[in-house]
Amino acid sequence: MESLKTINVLDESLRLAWLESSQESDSFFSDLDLNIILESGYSSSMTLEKKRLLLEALFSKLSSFSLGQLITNSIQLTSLSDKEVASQTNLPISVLEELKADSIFPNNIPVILFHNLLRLLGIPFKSVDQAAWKTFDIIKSRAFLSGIKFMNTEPAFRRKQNISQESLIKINKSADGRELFENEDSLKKYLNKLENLMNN
Amino acid sequence: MDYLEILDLVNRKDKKCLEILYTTYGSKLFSYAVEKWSLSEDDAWAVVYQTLDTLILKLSEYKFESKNHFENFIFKVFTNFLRQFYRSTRRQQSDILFVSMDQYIPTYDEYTKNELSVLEIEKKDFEEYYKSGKIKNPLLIELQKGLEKLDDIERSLLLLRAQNFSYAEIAEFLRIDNNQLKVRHHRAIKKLLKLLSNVKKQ
Repeated sequence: MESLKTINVLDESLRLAWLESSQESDSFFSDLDLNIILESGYSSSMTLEKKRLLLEALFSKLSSFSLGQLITNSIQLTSLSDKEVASQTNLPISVLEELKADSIFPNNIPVILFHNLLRLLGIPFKSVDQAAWKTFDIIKSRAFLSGIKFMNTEPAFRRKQNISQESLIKINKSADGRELFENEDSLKKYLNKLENLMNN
Repeated sequence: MDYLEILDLVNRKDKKCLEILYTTYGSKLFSYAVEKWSLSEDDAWAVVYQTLDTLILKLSEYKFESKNHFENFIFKVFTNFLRQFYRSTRRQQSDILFVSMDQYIPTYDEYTKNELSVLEIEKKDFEEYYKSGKIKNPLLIELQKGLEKLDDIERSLLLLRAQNFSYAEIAEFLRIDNNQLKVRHHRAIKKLLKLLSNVKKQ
């Protein structure tokens, strides 16, 4: 019979306290913690095969464009202004700006209007497919990071640009029903619909 | 390599940044997750992958004022994923036996045993945390406050021991005599429990 794993209640309580505190700006986690972790000698290490997989997976993320980058680059290749793009595709200019800043899930945009935009900019579906997932990850990680409290000086080291509190609130807002569409399944369905439209 | 150079490589989407982030942080964080938090190698891999993935996606959106800021950011991203996977690992473990401290550490004196008995933290309290990520038991909440009242050495000692660092390792990190550490550890526990029992009596 397999023996039970015994856990000391106090140690487990301390571990939970540490984990929770590490997320707070005034945590008792200190620079010492990171030094200890980085300078400790360990007997285990990641296998070379797993390291290779890790770096390959990360490289594919690093080298791909987000939707915002893709749209920005494509607009630059045309002689059109944002206003003209917005007017020719019937997209509100504010939505186009949000798309360029990767601060809106693409599936929040009516698929026909998004299709108009891609057709105008000559962006093929394959590129959009990959970029949409990168944008999805960016927005998710932005929402995730907004829940972490950094050092006390946080506001001073954040740039003013596209990760304003306003946009974070928008991402996290749950009262407007957007959250119903802001998940993997919805994005998959949306991209399927878009692919059908683009192929017809 | 200087953190500014790492940031520059990330901003330029230079592949070298991945190897450097992995070597400087990822590989150590992986071993730490496996050895000190008992995560499986697959889970530790996922924690490191998600941490580095978040870094390459987000580092360019932040401005860091010092190496400390930069590393603080990395560590917070990492601990958030560690926290998620630790809770998930615990949720899946059916072979856990929570042992109260007085039984687990027989060398405690009677006074400490009595003090320990006030700590009514049960399996369900932990299970609630593993499930929801929220600490609801008032004693666990007080424990966090109690830790803040300890001095730096006592607090580090308790937290590092709870993470399976040996007395020898802790002595080296804290630059204190290893011979005194066990005694100091027990004293720190007593002090913390005393703070908790005072709260409980109120």
